[in-house]
Amino acid sequence: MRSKRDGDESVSSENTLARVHAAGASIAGVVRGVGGDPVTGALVSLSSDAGTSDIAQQTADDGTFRFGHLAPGKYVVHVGGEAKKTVNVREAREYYVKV
Amino acid sequence: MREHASRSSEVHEYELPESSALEAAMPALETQVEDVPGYTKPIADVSAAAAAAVPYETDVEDLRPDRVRDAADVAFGRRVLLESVIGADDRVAIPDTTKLPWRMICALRIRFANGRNYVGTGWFIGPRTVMTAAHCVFAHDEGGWPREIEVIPGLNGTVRPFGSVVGKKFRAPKGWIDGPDSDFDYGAIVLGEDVGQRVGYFGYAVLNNAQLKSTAANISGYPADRDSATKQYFHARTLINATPKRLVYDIDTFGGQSGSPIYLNMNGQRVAVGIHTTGSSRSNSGTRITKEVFDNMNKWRNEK
Repeated sequence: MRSKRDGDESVSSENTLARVHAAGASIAGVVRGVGGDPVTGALVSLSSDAGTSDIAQQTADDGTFRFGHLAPGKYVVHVGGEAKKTVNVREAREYYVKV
Repeated sequence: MREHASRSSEVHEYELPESSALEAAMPALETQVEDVPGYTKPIADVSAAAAAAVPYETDVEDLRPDRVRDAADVAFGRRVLLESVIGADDRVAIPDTTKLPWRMICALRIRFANGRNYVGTGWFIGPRTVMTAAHCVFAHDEGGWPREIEVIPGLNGTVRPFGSVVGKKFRAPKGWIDGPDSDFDYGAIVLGEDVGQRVGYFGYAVLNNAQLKSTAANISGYPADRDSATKQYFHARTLINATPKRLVYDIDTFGGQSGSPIYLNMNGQRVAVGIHTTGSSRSNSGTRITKEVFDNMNKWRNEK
């Protein structure tokens, strides 16, 4: 059985392949300006009671964003410093919001 | 306790023996909150009340949210909001990021191969090594390692006083990559240039619970809710709790500050004891620098 201590073994980006494995629920959406056009480079972040990674995502050229690997719980979607939407994540699926 | 000195006046490492028998003999650390214009330092007895309200855990790995929340509420009379700025927002911007320690802290622009971009924070621990959160250098949902991360020391609005360097070599512990497991949420960027020689680098330490208990901890980084993550913001409080792998606090943070140093100011020596990773309405938290984390940091800091 792998011990918890093994988890500190150092891994280098040069020696390992990138992996893609999405899991859990996700919150995705698009940020639009007042005229309805998608906003590129807007800073989107999540917050929750349970705790979320304190990282912010920049919207893509089409204004979209996506946060994955989310546990069930209540999340607030912030754009810049402004709380925009609340999402109650209950199951492992994608929740789509328009901001 | 042993101390290493190097060419940088900012490098000091304190490695404590793991024996708990020595903890009682360890003197309390003399630490100070950074002196930042416009920042009102917390009142000492209020911080002490918060520390006393929640005993430090030595055998519990997970937070006990109710107790943490109660401690914060009792001590500070706060409303519970769904954001990681807890209570009144008294974070302050750093006016001059060319000074120490601010210039050792970097804005990160993280670019994944799939086109997704993120912002985070990092800090120098060696000539070419920038410490940060593991989720800044390996995102399971974005294909793993980033394509590149632009590191901008002391970014201050549109001013880049030390320029920027693009890093393409990353380090993270296996426990994060196989997980993700928040107990292993720490990592590093290895740059191709000796930028750390110009801006300086943090020391880091493995401290025991007794030493962490009454210390004033500082966090400074690049939050997305202020100035579009282009200005460095500072906040400080006494730590609320320490578990074997995590530090818990009500120091205010926001998305974009992942990877910020949780550090002590010991008479002008800046010594990191953790890496900020997680925001919550109840309390914020980061990865504690344990002996295993310390060993990896030592390994990574001299890589080229």
